Amino acid sequence: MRRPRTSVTIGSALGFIFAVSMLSILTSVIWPGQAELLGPIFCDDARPDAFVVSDTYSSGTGETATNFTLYCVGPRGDHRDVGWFKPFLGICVMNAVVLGVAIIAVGFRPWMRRLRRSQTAGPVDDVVDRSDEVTVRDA
Amino acid sequence: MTALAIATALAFTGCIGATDRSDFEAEIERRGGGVTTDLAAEPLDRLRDELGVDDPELLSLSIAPLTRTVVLQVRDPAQRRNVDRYVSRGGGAFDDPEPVQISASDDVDARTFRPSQLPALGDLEELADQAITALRFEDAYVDAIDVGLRNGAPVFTVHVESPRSVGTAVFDGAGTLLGAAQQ
Repeated sequence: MRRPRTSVTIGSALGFIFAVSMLSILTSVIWPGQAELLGPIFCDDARPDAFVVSDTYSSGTGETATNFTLYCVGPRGDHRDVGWFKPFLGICVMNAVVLGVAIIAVGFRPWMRRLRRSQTAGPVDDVVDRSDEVTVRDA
Repeated sequence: MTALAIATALAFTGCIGATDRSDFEAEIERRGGGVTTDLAAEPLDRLRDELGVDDPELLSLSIAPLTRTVVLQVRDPAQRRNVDRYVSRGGGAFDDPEPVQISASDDVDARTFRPSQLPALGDLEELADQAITALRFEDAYVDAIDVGLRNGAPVFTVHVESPRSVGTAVFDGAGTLLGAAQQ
């Protein structure tokens, strides 16, 4: 039985969003400094240098927690707190682009393989020009 | 499986590319402390809007550039005997104003000054540079700027620190250096 096309599309979109969210959470914990790549988006000319600052504190139950904040810093040390929500959204967009390109590359592989096979098999004359042919009919 | 183990290990020990808070503050100090004119200008503009007056009456003005915190003691224009404390943290909006207790003997009028008496507020960078130059500390940065009355006139006291020294430089409202001393 064929599934309705809309539900497949919605399911794929939700799966993609979930994968991007998980990937972004994981990569932002391992490599929070990637948010500094977004400096040109969040920082203006007066404070052009992006810094991801970590604050580690004890939660009181013997555990420690770490917060990240993106700052834009100027040449005199003046700085602006960008926070973490917007940079995290930026990381999600970056990951969505990377994941999207990967999916497209994998999805197009069979199509590329078919194309390559047809090229190695040589050109095929699909269209035959018959304009010069004269049809003689018996009277 | 190996990749997952590496990712988990990095998640707990990693934080690649992040700067620790203490290192970040050291970087701010290395660049001079972070004094810029907008530190005072923006809170004063917000105060003018909030009170509806062009030149509010102040009792004190303190700037901590590292945390971008500005603390103002302000006389209420509607009831001038009432003094409120306004705090702006991180360059953001004011917290709710807190009332300040005034004693019966406190001469509030004698401590009052106005932003219009402080033209140097329009160039705090110059004030910070002059203070650092006057004190001649190695790797110096501005830790704080306070404004208050001295002999009836408002003065800026710029606190300068370095890894080995602490000092202050005092300026009049126009930004003329009155003196600098190591503590």
